[in-house]
Amino acid sequence: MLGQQLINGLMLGASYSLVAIGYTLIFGVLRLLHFAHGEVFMVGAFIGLHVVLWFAFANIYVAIAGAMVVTALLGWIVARFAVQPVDKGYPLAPLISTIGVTIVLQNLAINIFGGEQVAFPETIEQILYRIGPLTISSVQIFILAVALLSMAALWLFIDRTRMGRAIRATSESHETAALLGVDVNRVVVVTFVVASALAGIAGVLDGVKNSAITPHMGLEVAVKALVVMLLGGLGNVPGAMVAGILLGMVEILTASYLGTSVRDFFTFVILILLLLYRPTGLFGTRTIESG
Amino acid sequence: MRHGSILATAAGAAALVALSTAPDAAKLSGRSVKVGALVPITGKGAEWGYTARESIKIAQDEINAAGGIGGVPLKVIFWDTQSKESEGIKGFKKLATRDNVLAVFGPCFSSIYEILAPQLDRYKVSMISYCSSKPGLSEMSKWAFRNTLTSDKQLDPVVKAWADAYKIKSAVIIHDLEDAVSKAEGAKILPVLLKKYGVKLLGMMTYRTKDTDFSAQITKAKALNPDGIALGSCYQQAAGIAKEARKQGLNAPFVGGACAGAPGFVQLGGKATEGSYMSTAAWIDDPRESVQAYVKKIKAVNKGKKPPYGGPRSYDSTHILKMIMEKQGVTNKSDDLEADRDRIRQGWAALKGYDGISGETTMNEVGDGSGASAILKVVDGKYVNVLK
Repeated sequence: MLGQQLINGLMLGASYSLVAIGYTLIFGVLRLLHFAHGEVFMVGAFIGLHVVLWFAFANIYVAIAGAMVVTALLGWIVARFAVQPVDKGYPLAPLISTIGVTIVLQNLAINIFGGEQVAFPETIEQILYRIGPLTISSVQIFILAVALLSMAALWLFIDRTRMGRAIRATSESHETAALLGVDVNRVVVVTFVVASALAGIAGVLDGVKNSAITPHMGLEVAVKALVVMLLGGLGNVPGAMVAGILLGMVEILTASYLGTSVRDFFTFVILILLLLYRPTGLFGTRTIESG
Repeated sequence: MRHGSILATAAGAAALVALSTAPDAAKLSGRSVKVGALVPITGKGAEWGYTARESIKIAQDEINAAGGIGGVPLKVIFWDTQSKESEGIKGFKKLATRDNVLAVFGPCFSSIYEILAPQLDRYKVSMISYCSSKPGLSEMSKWAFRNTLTSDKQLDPVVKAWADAYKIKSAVIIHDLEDAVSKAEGAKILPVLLKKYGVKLLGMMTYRTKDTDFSAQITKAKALNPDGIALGSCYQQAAGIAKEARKQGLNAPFVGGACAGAPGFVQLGGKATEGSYMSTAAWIDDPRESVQAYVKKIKAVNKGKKPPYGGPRSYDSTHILKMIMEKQGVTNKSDDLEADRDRIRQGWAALKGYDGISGETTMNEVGDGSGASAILKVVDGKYVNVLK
């Protein structure tokens, strides 16, 4: 049973990781907590669902692609109109602005899609594979594969491309990067686009996994992803990947062996202990390291 | 002048015709017969509240089109509880003391009903709920009534049918830790019923209302290898649990209460819900003409969707109230308010065998409705009634 529970934890954690990576990318570049990131995740879930419902030819890959395009566009809009024009002189101003985006997106979703919970139709055929005592379904394999591939692609992007290098440079210092010829404003927009597209993918995967798509689904995930970001170290992308999966496992094991009522309690106890004894996160705050 | 008197004569004649259609009814005084209704139009119970309000309006229109109550039109005053306890209390006070209504329909949720019921002896106004189903609440006052089946009564025949149909010898219970009815069903009612019908309880798993991931609970349940799964749950989570179970290869059939059995369970859960047994306090797909006439009217104002059982129950309650008022000789005079309210209370307490669209309604000794309920089974993505 433990093995099966670890698989459950991996599944849950993978979606936390995908959302947390977006948070941590944006935090790394802008030192900004992008409050509406959970809502971008929610929009991704709705778009993915409606792509499947509206277009007869659409399979799950088209749904993911559609969600990515729309959330990437949303990321661009948020960066250009809600973050960049806001005066950086007031540290709280951009944060308040993204809170505003949260409210706008939630209300738009309620008005367009309605307030009721909806679910994905069965877009992936359910096949069960048995490996010894473990059971894995085709849906689980699909979700995990997409999540891991997205993370790998992001890592390659950050590590191997010019833009990736510019993002890393900007997160170390805006001024130095700008002096060295990096177009910082463009980097900020690209970071928002990439982070939002990842949240869009995560939204579709969550919709397929849990069949609980509502306009309010963003908040819960956003809070968990924040915890993951802190666990992994602020601005530390690989840290967020690992920490997300760790948190998923901890939650599932707590729910399974200690009871559901202490699930969140335990998560936050870990967070508080971490903040007390290792404030830079499990894997260090990458952006503060001297290069 | 001449036109005026012709009109007056015509109006008088119309009133006479209206009266003559209800020959047994005593003539009531006043301009309208005022009744209150607590409905959650916003918040978690929005679907229940909206459909209840519209159902009461449908019944009100039918009653008024047929001459009102004793020749006086019925006027229902609504109050949105926003699914909150504080708004429920505020609304009841306003309806009872400012609007001086004769009786109040609602509230929908057991959590609000629980707080209002003990205060009724002070207000001396009957409160008739159309969906609160936690057992033991109507005992709190002789003014407290519920035209619905409490969940123990709803679930009893369903658990039996489910256990018989699938030859179930062992089961696990998965229930909500926070929602009042779900918790009562999961922690108290289902264990007793399983025992009653010879099903061994292998284990209990819980979750919290906001949870969407049920993988840990299902893995645990699967390790116990149960014949069946009993749910103390609302439909959103019930659907999620069903899907997760099938995903992990746990194919035991489900049984659940009325909140789990809302139409949304099948819509959200899809194929995973096939074969599930669910209880309800009204069968919306009942082919009887009176039921389908109502369903047609409510679907027209509910975006084409069928209502949960609170709809037909509140519709019936409105018609029952009219019958009671006429039978008990309510006068509707303002200085007769206290006596009228008591007449209505007596009428509800003595209600027997009313044949409405949600089945036959009889009030038991504590003021809870009883009577036949349907047993719903999901067959080919639709609910069918398997009650014999």
